[in-house]
Amino acid sequence: MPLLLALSACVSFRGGELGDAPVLEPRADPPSVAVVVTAYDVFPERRDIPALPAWTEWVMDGYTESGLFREVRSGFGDADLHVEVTLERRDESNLALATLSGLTLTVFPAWGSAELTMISRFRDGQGNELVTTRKKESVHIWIQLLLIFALPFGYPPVVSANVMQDLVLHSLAEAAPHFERAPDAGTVAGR
Amino acid sequence: MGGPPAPAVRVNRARMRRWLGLALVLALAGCQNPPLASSPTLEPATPAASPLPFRVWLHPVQILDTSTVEAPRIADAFTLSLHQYLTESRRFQEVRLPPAHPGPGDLALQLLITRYRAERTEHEMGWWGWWRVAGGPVYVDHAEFAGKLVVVDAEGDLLAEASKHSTASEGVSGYDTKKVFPSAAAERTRFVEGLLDAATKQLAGDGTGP
Repeated sequence: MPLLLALSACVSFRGGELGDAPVLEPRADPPSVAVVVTAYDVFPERRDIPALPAWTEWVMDGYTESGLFREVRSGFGDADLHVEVTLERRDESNLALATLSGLTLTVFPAWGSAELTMISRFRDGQGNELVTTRKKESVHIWIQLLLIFALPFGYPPVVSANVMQDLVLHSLAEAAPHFERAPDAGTVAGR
Repeated sequence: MGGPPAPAVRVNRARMRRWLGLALVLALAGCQNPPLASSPTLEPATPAASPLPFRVWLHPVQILDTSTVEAPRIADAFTLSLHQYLTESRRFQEVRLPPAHPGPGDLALQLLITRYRAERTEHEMGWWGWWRVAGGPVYVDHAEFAGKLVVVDAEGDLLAEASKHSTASEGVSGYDTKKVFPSAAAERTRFVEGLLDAATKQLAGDGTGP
């Protein structure tokens, strides 16, 4: 029995709504950006999400690794661009399946999904709104016996981090043309 | 002599399997964490009859309570909530997010929080999973907020200053946890509303201002 439990695991995979990550091309003199992240569950009603610190870190990594910015800082402060990122998570899971899976020690699988929506509001250094983007991707999770062997290919935190960074890249790809109104902003190439 | 002991062993294994299965179910249910105690949300604002004729620039909310973990993150989220609340309340002509760049005739507003407690504590919990499944009164929410609201003009001269301390507690049953800390959200809103009421009265010239 302990062996059964030891071989059980959960893996995640993406819904694929976002498509391939865009290629972003920075300008010679990239701007600085200040990013504020908040996150909410939106089902059954809107509420704050406990796991926010990790999400914030992933979003900040996305901004840093986009290469579009000279400096990326968290919170409010002086910068060429300001972004308020709101993450909305809509979880869908079946408690009956989870119960059945638990009672059979995961011989019977359980699964669920989370739809992640990233709403990014971009403002210039003076606080004037430039553009608001809305990007969505779903993440599915599957719990079953023997999935321990698939774990390296769908480790949930890694999948979630990748999704978050791609949401950032797609948001930036849509928003970057509007940065023209802000000084020293980046451009988009290869979309 | 006597019957074989095997049936008793089988019964024990089945029982152990049921217990382990149930433990796993409870562990999975545990993935649905209790809601974040420090949620900085505010309840929807009631629109004012007529806005004061000022454009207001928000400074970031500052939480000076060092016992509050994640204070910077909460402060940022609180700033956004406060901006949304002020915009909905229509107390002022326009409310702008940080960074603040008040021009002539504009106001700058900052909320300084000296006490920030919004906690959900477990109550009478032998084994949390059983109590949660039983749906009994397993949590108690505590909310306590203290601080002041400061309003200055573009030159930094103090125009209004209001202080407030408010607190509330409420028991929450296991099945109500998705409702998420209603007392804290309500208390937080009352705290902000009280400060804004006092400050806007001072701005309107009721004679209680600095």
